[in-house]
Amino acid sequence: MRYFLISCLALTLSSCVSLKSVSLTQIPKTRKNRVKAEASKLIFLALNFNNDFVEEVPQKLKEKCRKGKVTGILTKDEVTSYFLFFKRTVTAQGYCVR
Amino acid sequence: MHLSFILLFSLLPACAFLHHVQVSDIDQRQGEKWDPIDIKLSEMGIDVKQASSLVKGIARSGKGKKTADSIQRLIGAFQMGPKTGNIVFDDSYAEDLLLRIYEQCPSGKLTGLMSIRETMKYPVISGEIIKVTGYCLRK
Repeated sequence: MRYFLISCLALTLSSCVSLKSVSLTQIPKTRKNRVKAEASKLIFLALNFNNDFVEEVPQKLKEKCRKGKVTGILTKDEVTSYFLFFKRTVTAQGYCVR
Repeated sequence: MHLSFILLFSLLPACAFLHHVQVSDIDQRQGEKWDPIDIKLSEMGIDVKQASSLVKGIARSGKGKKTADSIQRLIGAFQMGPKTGNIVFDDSYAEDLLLRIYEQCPSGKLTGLMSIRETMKYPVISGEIIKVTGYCLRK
């Protein structure tokens, strides 16, 4: 019984990751100040009714580089699959140039 | 019976599928005023497999079901290769994007553009969407 419970727990917590898309903008010469923004959504049984969570990403980047330019942005869209759930994560990381 | 199920599913909200996201450079060095822009282009997509299943469900005779099966196989033979979302019969809907951006931002000074490709899936049909958000710097 204990082994069964441990197996169930392991199955529930283990996850597989897949990369859906990647994009990159022009990389600056000075790459000192790195900024990163992430937005994610946990989706149960693929029941997802909108993708509005993505809109947080440029907003967060904007806040992290006031009066500067965020460039060299690497945007990653990935999916982490859990038991009955999956998590959609969009990550954008770039450099803040002033 | 089948018809009531179809009607029930039609009333349910659409499921959203995200295919691609891209964030462009965000320039806040100029102290000009920013206006947010939001552009959405879409085209109706069709799920051939679901459409065929629907026809098979409605068809009363075995012959009708067989015909729907044959049509699905025939269309399927022309739908080989990778695709994003459901098939559409006209992909030129994406070409209006530049014009729509120019309409919303005549100055042409754009920053923080984010382009999204997504699908809103309904029973049998879907909305194949291209969304662009960003900021337009006022002159």
